[in-house]
Amino acid sequence: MQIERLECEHNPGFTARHVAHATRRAARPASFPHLQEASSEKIEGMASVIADFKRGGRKKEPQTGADAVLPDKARYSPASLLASIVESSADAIFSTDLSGKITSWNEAAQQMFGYPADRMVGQSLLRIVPTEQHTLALHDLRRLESGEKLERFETVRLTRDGQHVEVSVTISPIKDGDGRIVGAAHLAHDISERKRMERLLIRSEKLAATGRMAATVAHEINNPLESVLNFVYLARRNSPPQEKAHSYLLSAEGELDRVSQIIRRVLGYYSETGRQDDVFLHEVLAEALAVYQAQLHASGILVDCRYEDHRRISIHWNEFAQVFSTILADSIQVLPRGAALRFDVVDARIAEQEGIQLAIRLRAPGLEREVLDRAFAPLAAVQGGITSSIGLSVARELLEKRGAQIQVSSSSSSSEVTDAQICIFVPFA
Amino acid sequence: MLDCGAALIIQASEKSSERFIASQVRKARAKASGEDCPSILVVDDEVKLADTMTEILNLSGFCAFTAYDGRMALEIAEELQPDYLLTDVVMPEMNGVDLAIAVRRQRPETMILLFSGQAGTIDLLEDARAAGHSFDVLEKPMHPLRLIEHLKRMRLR
Repeated sequence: MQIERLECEHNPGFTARHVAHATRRAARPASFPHLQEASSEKIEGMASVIADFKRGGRKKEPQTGADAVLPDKARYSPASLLASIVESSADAIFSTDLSGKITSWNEAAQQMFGYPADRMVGQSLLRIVPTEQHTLALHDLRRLESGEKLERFETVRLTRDGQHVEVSVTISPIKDGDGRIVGAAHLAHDISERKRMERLLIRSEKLAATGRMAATVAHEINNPLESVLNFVYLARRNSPPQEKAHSYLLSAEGELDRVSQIIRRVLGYYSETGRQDDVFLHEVLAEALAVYQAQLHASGILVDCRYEDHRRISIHWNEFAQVFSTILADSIQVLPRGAALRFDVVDARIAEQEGIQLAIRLRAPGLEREVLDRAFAPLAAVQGGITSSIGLSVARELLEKRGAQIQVSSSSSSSEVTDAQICIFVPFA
Repeated sequence: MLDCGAALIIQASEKSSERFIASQVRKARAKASGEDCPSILVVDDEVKLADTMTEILNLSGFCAFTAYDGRMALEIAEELQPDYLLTDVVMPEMNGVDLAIAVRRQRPETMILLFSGQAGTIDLLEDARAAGHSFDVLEKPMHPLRLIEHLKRMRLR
């Protein structure tokens, strides 16, 4: 059968309706005598589902209007037209016999699954079906043979290099001239991108719901917690320092302060307005380190600092305190014992801009690099738990909103040790 | 560090007595003028929070005064002309942002710090900023000493 390329883009009047119409007619050779004349092969069947043939454009559903008319019949024979459409389809289209042996394989199938036609024709369909679905795939062919109509379904197929590709599959019967079902036409539409977007949406909705819940809980307890903080502080001020109660209250105050910071970090939206303070960036960092000093020590994380920033910078103190607290809290949660954190605060010049740079270098034995690669993904699952990365992703937003930059890079210095660096550059206003 | 002694606390049940408020304010001003300490008006509809914050500020070198709503605060502020206004943001009747704008109009030198624990704060602040009013904001909960540090930093600006 001769195949002509059909340039659909140059035939704007040509729609899926025409294709579907031609498909139906081609499947009835008796009503299309010249088709048989043009071909030495007996037409036993034809893929009757055509979809998404305009790559990148709006997806068109197959239409089956009976009143469709082929444009310019003189230029395109229906057979060559259909062959051309199948061949140029963005969807994988292939046919099998009823045992699952592949009998044809279009260009898009080659692109999608990685096998050229000459490697697939004659092979089993199961080559592109994951093992656990083999029985189901063969069962579908038996259902088709018995005349059952198969609904379109979404599943996973295997590519030549073993990757999974998510597809929407339509399987239609191929009939011979006597109307007997002799095979199946398979159309597979790649839905990986749509599925990815769906998963992202679900995740972001989960995140938003989590955020709303956290915000509600946090706000309900903010006022009473502030009162408790005040009461404990006053009680300590009014208790003799030599008494045990004094030290208990001091501990309670420290713990309440920690709870306050956790709430603020989880709540995540902390954004200060009003005037900024001219401060040394290392002062803000030093305060955050002081808050987390005991936890860092208890977690076996070694901390080393070098403060060489000689100019004050105009920032909102509490915003940056939140950013540093988040990084420290996440580090405590993620880093194994024996990890080392080094903080260097220096005057810097990046891309013609002067500012202050904070480089946080970490060295961690046994830490998977992907943990760091996902550092800013919201609600990243790490080592069986969930990090407080709501805060870290918010921290990045906050820094970027203030014209600062934050970057994470990681490398493995050996198979056992991962090195990483978090760089924050805050330009002078 | 100066200690202004016991806080001047106007009980919520006495809010309705404007004469009482005025008399308390006059006493407060007399006390404040005798002490070399910055005056601060603490406004919060959470009575315990306002009371404890006032007490802490009095123990920390401030002469602190308390109000439990925006209207009361405005009356006291008119008499007191405070160096600082520390106010909650989301309050019934008059919110902290409107109070801050009114106090700033009365006395532009007053250093204003909003202290908020409510999600609605952001919208109120954005509206105020759009209208040309910008204020420092701290989020509850915060250790009182951090709050005091912030107040002191404001004075150094």
